[in-house]
Amino acid sequence: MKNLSEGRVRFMRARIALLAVVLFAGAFAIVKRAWDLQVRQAPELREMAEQQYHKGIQLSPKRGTIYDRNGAELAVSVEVDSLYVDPKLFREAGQKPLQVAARLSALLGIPRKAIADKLAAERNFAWIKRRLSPSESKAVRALNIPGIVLRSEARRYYPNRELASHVLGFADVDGRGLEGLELQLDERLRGSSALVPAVRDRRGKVVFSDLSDDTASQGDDVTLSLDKTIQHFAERELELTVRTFEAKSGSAVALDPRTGEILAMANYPTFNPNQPGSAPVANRRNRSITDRFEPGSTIKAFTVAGALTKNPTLIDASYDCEQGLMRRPGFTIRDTHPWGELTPTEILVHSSNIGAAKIGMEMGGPALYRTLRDFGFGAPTGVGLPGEVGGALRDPKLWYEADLTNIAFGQGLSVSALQLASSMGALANQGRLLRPTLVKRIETARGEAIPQPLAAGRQVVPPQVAKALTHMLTAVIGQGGTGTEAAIDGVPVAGKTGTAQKPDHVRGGYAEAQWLASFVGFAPADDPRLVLAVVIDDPVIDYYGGVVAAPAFRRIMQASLRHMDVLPSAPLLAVEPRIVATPETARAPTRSAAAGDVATAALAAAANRGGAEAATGRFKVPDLLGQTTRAALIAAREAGLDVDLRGSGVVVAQRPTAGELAQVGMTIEATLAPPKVDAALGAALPAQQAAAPASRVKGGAATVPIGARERGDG
Amino acid sequence: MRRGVLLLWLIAVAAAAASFIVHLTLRFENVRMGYAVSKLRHERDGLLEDKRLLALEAATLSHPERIEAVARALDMELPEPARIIMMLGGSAPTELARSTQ
Repeated sequence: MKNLSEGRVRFMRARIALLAVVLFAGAFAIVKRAWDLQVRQAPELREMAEQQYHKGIQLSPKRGTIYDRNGAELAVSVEVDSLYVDPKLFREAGQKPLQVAARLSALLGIPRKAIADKLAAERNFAWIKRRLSPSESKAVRALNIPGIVLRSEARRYYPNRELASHVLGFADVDGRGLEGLELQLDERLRGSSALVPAVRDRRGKVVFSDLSDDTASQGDDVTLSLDKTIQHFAERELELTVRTFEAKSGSAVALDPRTGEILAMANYPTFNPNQPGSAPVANRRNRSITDRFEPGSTIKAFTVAGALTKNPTLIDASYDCEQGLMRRPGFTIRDTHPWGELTPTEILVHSSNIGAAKIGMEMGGPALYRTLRDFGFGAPTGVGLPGEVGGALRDPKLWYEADLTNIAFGQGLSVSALQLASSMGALANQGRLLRPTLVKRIETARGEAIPQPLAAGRQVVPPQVAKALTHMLTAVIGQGGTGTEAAIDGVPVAGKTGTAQKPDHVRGGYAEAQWLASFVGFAPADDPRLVLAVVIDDPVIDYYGGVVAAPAFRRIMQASLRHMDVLPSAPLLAVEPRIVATPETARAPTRSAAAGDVATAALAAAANRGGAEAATGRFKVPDLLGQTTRAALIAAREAGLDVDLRGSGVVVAQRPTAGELAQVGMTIEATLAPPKVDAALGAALPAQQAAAPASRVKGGAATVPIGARERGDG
Repeated sequence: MRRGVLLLWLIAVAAAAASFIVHLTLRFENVRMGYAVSKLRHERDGLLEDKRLLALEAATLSHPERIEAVARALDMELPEPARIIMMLGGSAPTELARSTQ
């Protein structure tokens, strides 16, 4: 600057000063602005920023999965798309409602007008269709219409369809449990909504989130004690039995006597929980726990157990069964056969009503009542399913004179199928009654186990009494017993048949031709692993527990024990001839054969059949006349033919007729009609008809006063 | 003296600039990681959902009734119980079978 003129220097200084002032002013403005933003307006601006960036992530609850005891999925929720419209946004985008409605209508199968109304609605949100199929979702996504939005929602699926549907129940479209365990465990399964703070960018993409644990909103997973395979066996055989004997309905309950865990709970008719509305409401009822019935002779086992607990020496006592007719003032009790002196074991083996009544009389009302209550009758089991009934067992103070005897052989009280299985479980578990359980484990989405209450239990009868009863009930399955059809080759089985007339709720008393056939037992008798109760309501073709329910028991038990690896494999089995039936049980094998109970053997034989007929591709048409649905199906299959069954009952006509040659795969047209009971019974067993009481035969003239009616056993 | 002050200034400016760049880099990396985590989480959710769907499909396909129907369509029949041989060790035994053993 020394060389510069003074004017020039002054000018430069002025410029520097001006620049400094400008810079200072600028710096001041920046600092002031910073002060305003960072200090003075900080709270409002922070709030604005948070509103812009901090948009939370809405975690919708995901319903927990229900598994069987082996981890097989029984109920699963998966994400599917639901479609909604934001009418305001839709209009702002200038879309034409009628045009869009037509396109969506074609894709979704919803009336065009219904969609158009929603598109034109004066609101911000309207569902168009929920739970779209993947193809629908893809098609709508491809349209890419502003204001038409796809949103993920959970949908409940039951991959096994009808399997265990009564136990599982179902959930509605909003994921709320409505029936069964879905309802009972709704709080645990449902989970909860949660809003997790997150920072999103201008496009709405999540940049940061506090989502350290996105399992918080998920429902708990539930593992049941059910075994999918055993459940399938039970349902398959139950359906077959109900349809074969043209019964109204049926139930089967299988449980592990050592733990009280229910392994299967089957009912027929059934329903598909994926479409619960498509079945009648009655089909959705879990009959195993909601329906109560008079158990009939199955109760005799518990009567005898109570008597032996009171007086163990009774095991060698004998009771005069009065040649099948016991008259007392005001009531009469009959047996199906004229028995004389019978021991308690023989009373169970022959299912003598008079013998059981006399044991009951010897025990006395209060003791019998206490015994049955101890076994769990008259109160719900507490299994934890909605709608369970406790059955009816009146206080002995309210009993009429005949009630003591009737209750001793299974009339005048009502039970559920689950109660029956649970009570028999006590005899199989050394006299200790366990509360039946369905839920084995509940786990949160994080894997933490929710402690489950231990199965409560109480000693009902001493172990030695339970052991004695096991021997007695094994004899029921043995030669001369009523339960020979429940026998399994290679495994000792203990059980009791039951055949009970159903009460007539309209006229009072008991219905003439309505029965309830049951069988309850366990196996192996020497180391019980499975207790099974089978109850068939109102069978038409036959009605004895030993004929209707016992074969189903055997098939379910046999398949289940093999599944549980309790039965030895085929090469290890010493195949013994089946027990030869005595006159008492002669109908059982005959009936079962007619009903196709030996289906597996017959079908296996059919598979191996070849020969000249097969070589020519022509087979003789079998004679189906007089055969039941199942037997006709098997006979046709054996001959390599299909059959078209029309009607129900037994085959009364067929085309082509028996003996004609037919090509493989040809269809036989068979017409079925309800059988005439007299004729059917007479044809099958002429000898038995004479022995059968008049009240069993349709049109029979026997009318016995209520309380004096004889209930024959199977 | 003046050069020393200038040098110090330069160092200070360079340090400030460097720390600013480091801050920006970290900030940028943070955002990038945020996006990556978000993307991975989304991917994981999708895979979990796929797993769920596959499990559902497997459960549907392994439904015993369906297997029986398929077997019948192939002219197969239920074997006689005495002809069934348990293949222990061939497949995972069930929980009940394990408890037996």
